[in-house]
Amino acid sequence: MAPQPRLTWAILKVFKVLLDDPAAKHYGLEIGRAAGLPSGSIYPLLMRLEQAELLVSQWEDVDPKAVGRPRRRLYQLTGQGAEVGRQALAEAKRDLAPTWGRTPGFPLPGEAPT
Amino acid sequence: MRWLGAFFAAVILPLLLSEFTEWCPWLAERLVRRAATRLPEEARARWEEEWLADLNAWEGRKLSILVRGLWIFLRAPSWGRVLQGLPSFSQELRGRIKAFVRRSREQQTRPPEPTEPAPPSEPDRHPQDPQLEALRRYVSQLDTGRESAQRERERQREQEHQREQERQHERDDERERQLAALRRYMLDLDIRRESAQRDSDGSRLESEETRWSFKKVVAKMGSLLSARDEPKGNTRLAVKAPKRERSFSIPERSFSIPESAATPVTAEPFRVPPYVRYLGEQNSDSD
Repeated sequence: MAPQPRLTWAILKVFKVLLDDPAAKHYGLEIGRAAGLPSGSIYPLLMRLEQAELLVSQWEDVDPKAVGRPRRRLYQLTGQGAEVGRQALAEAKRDLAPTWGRTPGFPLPGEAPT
Repeated sequence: MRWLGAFFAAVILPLLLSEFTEWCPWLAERLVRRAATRLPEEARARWEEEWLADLNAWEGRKLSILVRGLWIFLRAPSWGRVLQGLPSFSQELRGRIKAFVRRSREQQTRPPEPTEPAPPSEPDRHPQDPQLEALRRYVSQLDTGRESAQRERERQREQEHQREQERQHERDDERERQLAALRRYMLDLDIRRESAQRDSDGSRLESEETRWSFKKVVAKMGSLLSARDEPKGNTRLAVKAPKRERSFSIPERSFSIPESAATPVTAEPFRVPPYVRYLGEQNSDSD
């Protein structure tokens, strides 16, 4: 099993974009734009996630001459990637949620009891 | 000259700018292809095509495409390290700084260890052989015990050396004290000897004076005896020695002379010495 990448804020954003539709395929520039990351910083994240087997990529099945542009590389979450992404997002949500004004043992509406 | 400047600003500069912007996508493509050569060889083709597709999909002005190509060109070495599984330059630099800080803190906190010669390199052994592993552990324990025993011996030797030095200091101090006492004793002896010598000189003088005064007393007594004539009874004489300059006193002595032993003498006037008479005659003759 490949080593898991360090879950940075940028990787969480990428997970969030990809988990909106786990079955969808996105190319790198599109993911970067949707995640709001600076141009160019998406490539090392995609490299790390692909090395950790949380993402798979494949070439776009089009004819470059027919569409008049180069074919794109499309990324998709694997099953393990989707699970890791959901866990990471849940942990981040729990860690970043405000703790003031809350009584232990009394969850807010829609929140799972802890 | 002004017209030339105006012509350059109005015609030539816009032409150059438009030409440069037209060249920007081509320059960006060249930069991306050049950046791909800085990746590992097995990933070059894939990432070159992907970056070119993203450049083509980039919505923006042509100058921004050039900036994006330049950015990819500059960041390609770092991404190549990511593809190789190596930490990025910043992570490596951060790790080196942390290691340097940790080493410097350890050197500050750790006491200096005695430098020992490096142990000889052991031959490579099969790491998974349990007997060899047990033997290696046993040997390492023996080495550790021997080193600790040697360290303990060195520590004891050092303590013994310190104690010996302290005893030597104490012996030196005691010898100094004895020498000082001897010096004081010798000085005291000198003082006593000088005082004794002074006393002996004084007593010798006193005895001489005593003898001298005794002679005078005898002479005086003789003159007194010759000057008195008491035919009846014993003659009692009290002789008192004259006072001395050095406050030497002779106790009064009393003695008695029996009458039979007393010599009958006649009291005569003071006899003038012959030389006085001679001198008187000479003086009278000269007159």
